Amino acid sequence: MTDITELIDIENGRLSGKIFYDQEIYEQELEKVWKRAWCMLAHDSMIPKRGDYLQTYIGEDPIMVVRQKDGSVRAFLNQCRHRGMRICRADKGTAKAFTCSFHGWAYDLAGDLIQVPRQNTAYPETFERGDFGAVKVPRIQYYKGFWFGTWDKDAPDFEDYLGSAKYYLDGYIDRWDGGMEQVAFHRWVLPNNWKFMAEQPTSDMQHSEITHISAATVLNKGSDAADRTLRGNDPVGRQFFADFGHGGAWYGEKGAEVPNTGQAMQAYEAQPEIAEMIARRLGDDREVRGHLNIWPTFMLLGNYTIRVTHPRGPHEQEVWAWTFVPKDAPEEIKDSIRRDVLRTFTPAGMFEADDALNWEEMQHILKGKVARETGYLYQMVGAPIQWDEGCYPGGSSAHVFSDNAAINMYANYLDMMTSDSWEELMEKRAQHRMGLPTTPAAVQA
Amino acid sequence: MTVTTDPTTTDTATTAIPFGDPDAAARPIGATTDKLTALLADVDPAVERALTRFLHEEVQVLDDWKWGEWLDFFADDCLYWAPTQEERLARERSRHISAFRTSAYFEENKVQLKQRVDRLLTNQAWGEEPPSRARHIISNIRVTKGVAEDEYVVKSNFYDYRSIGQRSQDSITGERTDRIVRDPASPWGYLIKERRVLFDMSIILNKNLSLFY
Ligand code: FES
Ligand SMILES: [Fe+2]
Repeated sequence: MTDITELIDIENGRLSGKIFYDQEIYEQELEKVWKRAWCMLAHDSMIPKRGDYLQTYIGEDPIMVVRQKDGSVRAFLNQCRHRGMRICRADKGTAKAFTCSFHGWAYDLAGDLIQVPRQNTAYPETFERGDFGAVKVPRIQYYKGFWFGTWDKDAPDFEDYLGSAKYYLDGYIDRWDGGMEQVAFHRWVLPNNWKFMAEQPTSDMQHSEITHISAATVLNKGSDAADRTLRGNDPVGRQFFADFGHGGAWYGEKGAEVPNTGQAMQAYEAQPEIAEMIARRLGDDREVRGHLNIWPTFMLLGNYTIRVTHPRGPHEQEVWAWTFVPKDAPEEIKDSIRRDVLRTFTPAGMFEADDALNWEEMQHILKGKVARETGYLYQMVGAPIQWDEGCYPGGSSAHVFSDNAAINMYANYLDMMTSDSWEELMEKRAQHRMGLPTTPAAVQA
Repeated sequence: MTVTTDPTTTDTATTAIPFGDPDAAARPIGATTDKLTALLADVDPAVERALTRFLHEEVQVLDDWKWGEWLDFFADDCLYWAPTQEERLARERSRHISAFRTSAYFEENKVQLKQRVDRLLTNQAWGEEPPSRARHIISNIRVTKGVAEDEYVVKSNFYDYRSIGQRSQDSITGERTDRIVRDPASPWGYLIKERRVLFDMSIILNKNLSLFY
């Protein structure tokens, strides 16, 4: 087996291209990352009524998420226990039961097997339907409108998994008394390793200046699109990271601005009663909202696009992106958010188009043996790491451009890939957190 | 290349083409009863020929990278819209295409289309730099009368093939429904008032949709 510790050098901020390329490493990720992490499954507004279901994935495993008769939500593997057919092939809908199209085994809303054709005549009496319900996602937790699931019974509770990222996540999803709702959904496929994208909302604000210059140039000219000025030489802001690989960054001082939403939205949030509501819910220092990733791939961008990416082998990923709006906001505000997202961060989005090109080329180049071995640099760590600084929980740096959160993400990745249990992983994480095994600049501080 | 847009004109239009075909074949045309004759009688053959050529010229302009000139095909109050699709069971099939003002890849007025064109013309739109070579192949063009005088609803199918970079290629298929009006003042004599682009994929298998369709 590949020794992954030789491919990730946290102290010196160096990664081998192999972690984005090797099939063997990818198989290990399915086992050690995707079967262990908490993944976002659904939001209440996607399955509002009893019997509402949607199909999603944890890693490569297809998952059915279903609203039960009692209002709770359950999730199970979308695979028939008979011969392994996909039980339900619709993306979403409303159902009373799910019948497999191969031999007609039927499952109820909880995924329990309720009917087997010819059971009485063709199967032995010892055959028990109860033994062959769909494989359940053993742990599901609800957090502020969202449902998360993990395969690992020993994983910490979702809130502990979030750790200090909770504070930042709440800044996006807990601003509104009436909660949020999903109003648009886009899916597309990118020909690159899933970690390239995960890294971006976690850490890489700086690529915007270059990658997205064309979009920023046209959008900043007189439209009600977000203010995405690239901030010239004065990129004020902060980057943070949390223990299990989460990270994010935003422009601006605390409480000063929320620069990623459109003008209409900014004006809306500035209204006294709305500002008061947000301050009541979050505290008045909680204006932060930029890029955020909850490891592995639950991503939130400041303009209300929320996404999950699903890996599809080492060389491909599927992006599932929803547009969220504050449920109680006026229709014009909701619509301005919706249109801003569709024009910027969908497959036809003016920002998204250019990211895709970079990642495709990076992936393609890795076919080269030398290219794969050259290694990537994560040495932008000029702003020293501080822990629980001021109002900001977790590790953070007082500069919006930094590689610290990316290094932390890969440190967590390395720990996950080399641990056999959550217990072992927690130990490693605690050590690496306290030891701050980062760069000389950080250690000096 | 820079352009200043007026924020007051950036609102998207509020109408959308109805999904169904105007059922021209069902309209009684004099003594004629067969469907094809009825369809042919519905629209002046010269107009049908003009609109067919109009659409072929339009995609050629795109394939020639003349994105700025492409805007001349559109009315100032146009709507360029592309809804999304989902996998839905047949019993819920009416909902597989997203409703207007919900999920869409495009929902643009002329000002916004121009922004997209201006982005491509910055020479820093890396997704199209160096620019891809695209072939827009359109077919199955069906012209029917619109509701207003001098207005036509034109359906066409497309197969857009794109070659980008040294080895990358992708393609996408779908259907366009255009509402086109006669306008002698426009460079082409006609203007597209509304275009609905319906991509066939429920998950876009292309890395981006950075061109026009
Ligand atoms: S595989 Fe599902 S019934 Fe046979
Ligand atoms: Fe980006």
